[in-house]
Amino acid sequence: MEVVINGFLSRERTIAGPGFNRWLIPPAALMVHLSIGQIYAFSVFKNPLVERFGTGLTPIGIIFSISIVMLGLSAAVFGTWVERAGPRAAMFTAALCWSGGFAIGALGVATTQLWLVYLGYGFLGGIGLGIGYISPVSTLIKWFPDRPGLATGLAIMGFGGGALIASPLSSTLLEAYASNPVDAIVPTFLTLGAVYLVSMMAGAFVVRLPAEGWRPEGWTPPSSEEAGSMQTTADVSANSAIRTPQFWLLWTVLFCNVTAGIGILEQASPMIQDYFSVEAAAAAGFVGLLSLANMVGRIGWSSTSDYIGRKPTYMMYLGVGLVLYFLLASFGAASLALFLLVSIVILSFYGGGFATIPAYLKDLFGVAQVGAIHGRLLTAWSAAGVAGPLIINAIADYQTAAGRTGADLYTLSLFIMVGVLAVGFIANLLVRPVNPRFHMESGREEGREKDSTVSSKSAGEPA
Amino acid sequence: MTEQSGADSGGSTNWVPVVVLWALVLIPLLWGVYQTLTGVVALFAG
Repeated sequence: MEVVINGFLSRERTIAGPGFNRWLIPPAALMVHLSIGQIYAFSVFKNPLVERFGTGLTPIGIIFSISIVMLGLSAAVFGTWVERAGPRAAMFTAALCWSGGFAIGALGVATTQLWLVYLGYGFLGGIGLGIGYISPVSTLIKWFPDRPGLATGLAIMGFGGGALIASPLSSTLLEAYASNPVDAIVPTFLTLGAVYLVSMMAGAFVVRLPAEGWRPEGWTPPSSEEAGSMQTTADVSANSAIRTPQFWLLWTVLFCNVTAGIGILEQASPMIQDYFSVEAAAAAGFVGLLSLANMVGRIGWSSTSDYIGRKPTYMMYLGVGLVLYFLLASFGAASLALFLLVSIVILSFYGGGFATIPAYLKDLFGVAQVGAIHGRLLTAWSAAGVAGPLIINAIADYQTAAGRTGADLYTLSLFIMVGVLAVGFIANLLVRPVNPRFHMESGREEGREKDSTVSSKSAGEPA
Repeated sequence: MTEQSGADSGGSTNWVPVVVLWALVLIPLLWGVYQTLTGVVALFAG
């Protein structure tokens, strides 16, 4: 095993040779993200699992919750290791964890041991999600310094798109393996685990790091004047980054954007049924439409941010999003077309928020440890994954108890989301360039703060 | 740097594996998009 780690998987062995085409890197990253994006299609297994274990929706829902919490935690904990070990070792590890999670989960289903599904798909699979999610990010930014938003948007689009593949694929497998979906869970889990193992290993095999000093032909790094004040030419270490106000402002921005989006995403089906009394089947179509908006927003808005800048892009996500939530709360019940249009744009902003954040981090903290910093920032996702649904569900329950029905169940929570987005908007407004005292000294792997007494003397320096 | 020449120029770079790899990820993704859109259209039409 040590031979593998020090050989094929080592960072040094992944340095690209002459003539390597950088356009191989986005599909390699997509092979990982399209695989781990299956997590968003977990609901396909909910009813068969409920029947298999003879339990309620809540104990089965815990499987998904463990996965998402582990995603954020493992991205934060292993981010520095991912930077040090390189993308191939990270993708390899993520592939073993993610497909191993399916295998252990299948064992749990076969033996009717729910705790094994928690341990497999939830805990181990969740670690695979976290490591897999951040593994290609800094590599893509290094290969595409001229278009970081496009590059990370392409990969993170895969996380949204993974469910679009996994949902119909899982349904097809459940039908193909047995007449009763309950009896088909084990072979479906094993098949998906094998498919994702091959796909992610192929990504790990292809991925390469650019050689030191490499840059795209015809491209020169922008000077400080060309880059503008919001793009640094220096680097900040992950340990230093979390001590800057910029990190926590971006944490707040991501938390608010995700809280607002996930609130709608999680309740999309019952929400449209309560608003317009549509059939459950039509509501499922609405959920599919939102998944598409989520995916397209990731590549579309993140690429746009390369041209209009990261801060204005988040102004749009949060500012326009705030207005759209207000429209939804005030007039959403008046027109199905308005409801659909507004929801689609909101979900595109939700996806865009995920995809643009690595490029925003690169602008503020440099490229050296952007993967590790991104991993730590993803704890905002875990927190929002709890807060968003909690707000919507708790208020809907409260309104139901108060005898309200239809759109009235959600109006208050949508207005709360307006407030949440306003907080995010202000946080984004406060983002300034990082104080140079946090910059790494050139040639040093670990960041060491420069003499703050010297740098802080300059008047009007960034916070 | 040796990497600078041809890495993104299309001159000395081989584009065949690029096309193959993109096809491998885009075909299932487009299949998934098609399945979703078919479902959306059928459900709202019905």
